Amino acid sequence: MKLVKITIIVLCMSLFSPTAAFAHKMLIDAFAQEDETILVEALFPDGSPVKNCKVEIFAEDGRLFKEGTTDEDGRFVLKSEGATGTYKAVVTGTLGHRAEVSFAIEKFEEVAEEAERPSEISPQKMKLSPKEKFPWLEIIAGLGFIFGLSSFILCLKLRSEFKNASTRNR
Amino acid sequence: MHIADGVLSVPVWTGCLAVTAAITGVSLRKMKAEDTPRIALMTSAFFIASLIHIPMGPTSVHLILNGLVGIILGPLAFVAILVGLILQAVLFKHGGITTIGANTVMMGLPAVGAYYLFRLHRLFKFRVSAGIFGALAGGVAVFLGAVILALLLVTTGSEFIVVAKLAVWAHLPVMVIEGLIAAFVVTFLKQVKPEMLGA
Repeated sequence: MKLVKITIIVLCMSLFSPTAAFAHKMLIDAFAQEDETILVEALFPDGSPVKNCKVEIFAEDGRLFKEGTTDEDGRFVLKSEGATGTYKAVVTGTLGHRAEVSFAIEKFEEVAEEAERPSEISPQKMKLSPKEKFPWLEIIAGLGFIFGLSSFILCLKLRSEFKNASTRNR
Repeated sequence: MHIADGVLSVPVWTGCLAVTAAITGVSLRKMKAEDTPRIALMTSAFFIASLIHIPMGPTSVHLILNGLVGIILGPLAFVAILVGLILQAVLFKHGGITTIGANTVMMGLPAVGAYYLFRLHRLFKFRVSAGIFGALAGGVAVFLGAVILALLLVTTGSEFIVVAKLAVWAHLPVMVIEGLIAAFVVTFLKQVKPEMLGA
């Protein structure tokens, strides 16, 4: 009996330790690069890439501009072909995962003229931070909400039960 | 296995929302005051479980615990899962706001199924029957969730067998882990607090 208790406690602790990888949503980012290409990258919050998933690039008017799939590193690179303006990248993963991001393509000619300047946008740089902080605050907020909601429901239920009891007594 | 915003078509997610609202309404009316702490406890467990995540090839899976929630709450599991999913969507950005109904149906129906599967353990009198049926219910709930996920994604134009295979395959480790967790918890509760299992 004691053994079972200890096993459950150890199991729970190992599950809820902050080192356990977590979360489920997709992080995506898309941006234009100096060599007239667009880089779209998609990661799961633990840093693992979203492999072989469909990427669609939409223009501002909702027209499909380009589509493709991410590679083994969760990236998709395409030529921007001189396009400018605001675009939207949508990554559709398997099993109902989906994320979208808007980005702007600007002309890089002006940047090229000032080539001496240290490059601020180094090409092929991962812009996404692969690891997110463990959402302690959100967990506490959520548990607090559950506590408050259950107290509220308990109050309502008890109130109606007391009312029923008092009318029966009369 | 949360479906994100913008994946399902409007009729599908509104339909799921209606189903969820109906079942939740019925459950809330049936619910008694003394059920509240149990539901709150299981909602909290469900809410946090989704943070425990296992990378699996092209997708990502995490613990769901819908089987365990179902075993302990029975048909009231729907309420717990709905609240848990709303909090996950708002706080962790898991899944989407519009797809809360779809996700609740996907995890809630198997949870209720797990409850009835677990109740079968009373037909068998041997010592570990509760543990075995707990493990079965925990695993089957995840399996059914994966199947409902595939059914919902069929409406987006993907092929059922392909998605179902992928979903079940990706959730295989989750099924095993949740089966073990459910077996442990059920065996423990059976000995210290059998009334929590509706005995």
